[in-house]
Amino acid sequence: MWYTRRGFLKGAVAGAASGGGLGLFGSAAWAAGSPDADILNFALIKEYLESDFYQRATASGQITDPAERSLLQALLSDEQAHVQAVSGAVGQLGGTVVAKPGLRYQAGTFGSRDSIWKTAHAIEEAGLRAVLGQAGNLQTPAILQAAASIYGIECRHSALTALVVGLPVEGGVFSGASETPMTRADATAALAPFVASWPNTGFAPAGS
Amino acid sequence: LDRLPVCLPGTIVFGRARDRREFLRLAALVGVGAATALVPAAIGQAAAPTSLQFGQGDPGILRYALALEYLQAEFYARGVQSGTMGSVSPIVTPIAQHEAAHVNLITNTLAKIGEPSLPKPKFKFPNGTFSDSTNFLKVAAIYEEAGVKAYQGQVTNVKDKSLLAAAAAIAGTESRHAAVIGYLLSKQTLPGVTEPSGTMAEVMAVVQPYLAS
Repeated sequence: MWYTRRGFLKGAVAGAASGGGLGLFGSAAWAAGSPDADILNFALIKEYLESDFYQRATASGQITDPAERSLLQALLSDEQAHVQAVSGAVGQLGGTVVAKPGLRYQAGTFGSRDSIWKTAHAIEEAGLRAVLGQAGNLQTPAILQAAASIYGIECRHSALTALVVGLPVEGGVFSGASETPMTRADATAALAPFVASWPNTGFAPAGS
Repeated sequence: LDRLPVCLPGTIVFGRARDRREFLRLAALVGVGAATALVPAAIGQAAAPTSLQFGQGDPGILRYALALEYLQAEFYARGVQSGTMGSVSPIVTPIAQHEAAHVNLITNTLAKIGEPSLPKPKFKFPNGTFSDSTNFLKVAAIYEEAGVKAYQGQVTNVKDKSLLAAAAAIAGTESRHAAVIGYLLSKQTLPGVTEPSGTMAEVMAVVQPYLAS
């Protein structure tokens, strides 16, 4: 397995050495070796991707409808805020903040409005399912609360990106009566086409 | 019917202004540069302004969620039956199915863990709620946002991790509903960088006017 948790362990050691540096979240969970920082780093890769994607989408000039431009602007600012918040939380937990990876997009991704919204929807969908898959694994209450909040926002993003581009209501705008979680491996595989070089945080796709 | 025939209004305002205060709210949530950690409120301690009794612990949270799902399920079922949904029918119909499924899911979960269910409360809706789709969507927006707040508000109170995952899976669907209803109303569509969260007392204060008894 590539899940080395090196970054987390390094941070945990640093945190333990600093003695009480993690008091904000309570040191007990950290003494037990919570994987929260590592999970957050994975979420951060997803947030980097989303933020980067909406930045490029904005720069493409393909989104011209005023309502859609407003949506795009809101999506971008949400994701930028998520990047900052998640980065900050990883550091706060004593973890090593993963660097923004190299990102790649299929040719033509930003060449049309339809392609932009459909790709956005695919990324949002994978992202929210990835976070949901970790719901039971997060240990720190404040981190769990923040992750749940970000997840809910991503669900809104997924629905709206599907709605504006006219994807089917069920299986697009909605995803049945409840969301489907993804394992970390599946989520990594789903995002792999966009991530040119996986940061060495233990989340590299198996076999790469 | 699987494609949305709804015309997209051109005057939609997506989200409210992203101000610094809002970012700070998220920052505080995850403890970035903040001096305070969130302390989860103990479930059931604050008296909810309602005649409904949910009980304590995870079963109490389930019965609380069930009350909200009962409300939504009845509301959407009546919306579908009303025949007045028009162009938003392709959206309202699946939502009605989702809410009915949520009622079943929570009821079954309570049965599975050997806990009593919550009898379905009697609900009342404002006059004209089902006479046109705009009235209907306005009420729907209230319920969906209350539902999101309720789930978000209980995230750190749920003890059982598998239950938490199941509740989160439902909550995400409610977030989608809230976004889409907001969109159809041409109003606030994205709440900002974080989902709203509410205590049981806050949420039940919103729901109370719709309880008949």
